[in-house]
Amino acid sequence: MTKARKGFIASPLLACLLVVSVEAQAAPRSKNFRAEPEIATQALTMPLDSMDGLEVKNIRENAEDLATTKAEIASYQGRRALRLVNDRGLTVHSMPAGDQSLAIVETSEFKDGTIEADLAGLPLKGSSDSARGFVGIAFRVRDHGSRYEAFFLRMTNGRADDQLRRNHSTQYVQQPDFTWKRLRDENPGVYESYVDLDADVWTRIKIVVAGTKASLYVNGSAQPCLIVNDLKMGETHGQVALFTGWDTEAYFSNLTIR
Amino acid sequence: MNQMKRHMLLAVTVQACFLVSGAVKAFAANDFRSDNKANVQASTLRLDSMDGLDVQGVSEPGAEPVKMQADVVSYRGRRALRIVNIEGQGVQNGEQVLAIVKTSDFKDGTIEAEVAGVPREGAKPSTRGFVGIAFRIQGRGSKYETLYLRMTNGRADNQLQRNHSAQYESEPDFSWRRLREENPGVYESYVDLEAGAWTRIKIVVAGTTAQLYVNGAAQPCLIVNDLKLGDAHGPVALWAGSDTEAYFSNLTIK
Repeated sequence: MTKARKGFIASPLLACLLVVSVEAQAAPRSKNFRAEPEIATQALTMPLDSMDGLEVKNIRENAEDLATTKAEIASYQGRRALRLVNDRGLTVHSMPAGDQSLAIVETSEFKDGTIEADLAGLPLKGSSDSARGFVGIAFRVRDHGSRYEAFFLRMTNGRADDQLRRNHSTQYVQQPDFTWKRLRDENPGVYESYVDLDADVWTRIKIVVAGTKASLYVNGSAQPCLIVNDLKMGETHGQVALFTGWDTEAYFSNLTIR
Repeated sequence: MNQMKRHMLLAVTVQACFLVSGAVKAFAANDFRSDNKANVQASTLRLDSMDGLDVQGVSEPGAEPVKMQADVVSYRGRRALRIVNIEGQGVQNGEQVLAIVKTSDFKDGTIEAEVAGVPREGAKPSTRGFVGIAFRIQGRGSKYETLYLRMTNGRADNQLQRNHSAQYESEPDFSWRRLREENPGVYESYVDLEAGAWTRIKIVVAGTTAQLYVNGAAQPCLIVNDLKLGDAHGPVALWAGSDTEAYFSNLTIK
């Protein structure tokens, strides 16, 4: 059983490493980003029915071992979509904060503008009670995920029978410096909010970014459910990525950047 | 000049309220407490008249008596109950005004109403336009549960303020301040609100739980699982917080 699990994990990891090594050759591009002051957002539409152009990365937060992430195309609720399965593994379930994974859109370049996507997410089967189904979008991603801004949803919080959990349905984070834990400890209620979420259906999210401000809209709402006025990386630019938190089975479809 | 006129107007309306409330006092206090198996009495009030309303100022401990004005006026296309709550100076906790529906007796069920609110003219900057519904009122306003909205918070440019758009409290023991200090984020939440616009609210109460729904949402924006008065019953009231100009229309209780 355990062996089978390891094998299952190893193959996607290998695939990731391959992608990473290819990406390493593109390093001059990241130099370009810094030298070029007039970077503009590049419009892009991806149905996410193929893995082409995605770089899958695991991002260590506080956990001892890196999570493993399986990335593939699968059918979900009537469409072909990107599935990311973030598995934190068995040894670190007691850790307060876990690993994240990104599927970075390699050709994306985003500074200010609007990012939209359909997403869905559930706690991984067998995960601890504190898993919520963490799904979101990272933006202004630098250096293969070493730094980024992200909005994410805690999918099973939206209709929890506990208002405090509901009030943590949406979250802003900036990795690696401003984890949700740090933001909540230092400024509770400032980088998180309530929004209604149905864990097992496609949820439309829209992120509007301008300078050091960002707003999150969910399911076509005219008003943002979460606003951030001090993006922690400042007025920067970088790639866009699909985001999952630990122990989450997440689906992504119809990404647009403009 | 204007100031004087205003004061006179206030004095008259407040006196009128005392007259009304005096007459109802004994009846209300006896009736609602002695009946342990009260049923919800279904009723609909358009609130285009003051009939059947008992307007009460409720001061939090240490606060001066609340000044208020209650009348029926035209607001955004309809005749509606207006309550203006004028907070005294140097008051810490703020004060509340109830317009108690005298014939109501509510235990479990659904309360719906349309409300609107803005900070009153000349209010302190910290005022939000506090408007809501109180229920299971005991002793003519000495104790009650309430769910209310902070109308200017819904679209504030500050997420913490937005996250305080909806609030539960139980007077006099569990003020918003006590609840927030002891359990931040448990009795308050975000919901989109437009200050001054008619806003539909629905409150569903069962036993010691209550849910608040805003503007026809299918899901509640605020849930309370431990109503502080327990499994009580009592009248329903329109509720306005400090320094607020509040409007109420189309109240239904079922």
